[in-house]
Amino acid sequence: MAKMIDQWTITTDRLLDGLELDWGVAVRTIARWVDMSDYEQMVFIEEWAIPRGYYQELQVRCKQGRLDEDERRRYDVLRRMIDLHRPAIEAILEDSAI
Amino acid sequence: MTGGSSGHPIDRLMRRVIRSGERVTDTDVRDIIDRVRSAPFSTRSVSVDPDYARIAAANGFTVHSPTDALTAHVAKHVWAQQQWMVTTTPEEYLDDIRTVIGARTARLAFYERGRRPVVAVVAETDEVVPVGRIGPASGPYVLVMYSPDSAMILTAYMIRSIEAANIPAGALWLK
Repeated sequence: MAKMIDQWTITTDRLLDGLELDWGVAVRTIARWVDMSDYEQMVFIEEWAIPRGYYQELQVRCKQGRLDEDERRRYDVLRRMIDLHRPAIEAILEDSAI
Repeated sequence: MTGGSSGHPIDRLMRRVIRSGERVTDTDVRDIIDRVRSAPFSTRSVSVDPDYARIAAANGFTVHSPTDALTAHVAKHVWAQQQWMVTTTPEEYLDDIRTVIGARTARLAFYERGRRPVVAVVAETDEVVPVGRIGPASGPYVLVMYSPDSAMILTAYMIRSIEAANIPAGALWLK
């Protein structure tokens, strides 16, 4: 069942697109959290695996030196946004790691 | 979630497995799989983030928010994130979910999120999704989540690895 991480064929550009999209949505979601239905809150928490997986994969590729200059710039911008909003997300996820 | 807990005996069994670790037989497992496989998405209206709707529109699909949960999930995971090919229909997305749940190699995880019981089913993407429907942002695994409280599918999407899934460490894995 287990598959190696480096078998994930998604392009780095797609990972960055996906992470930018999902974190943008997450920031808006945090802002309206108390107004969301129980169902919407539960779905958000259960789907957090998607941006978390994107971010983990980008971290691996960055460490391996697989990001070009433009990708590295986008990644750095994302990291700053993630660091800024991570506490609010962590509070929502109730100790689930990002 | 929907104003109360499902009284269906298999949903009640799932909640007992989660909350008291009740042992299940092979027949119970088959009943659980049948129950989850026949479950619908929520019929309640849910909102679609403007960015998902915008990208869906750029790919040729109009999504009005709020909408039904199945359309909202297709808008996000198919038309915006493109885990499935954008040509995948809601019916095909649902077919793939049913295939995941019934897959011989699928694994089932039982856990609580807060005090909400959840059953997750995970299978390898290339075993359950036809090649022509696997999108450019697909992941190696498809994860389906079911609520034994509401008797509905919560969500279904692709992930990088089982470890990356947001499943608590204390989850009970049945298969």
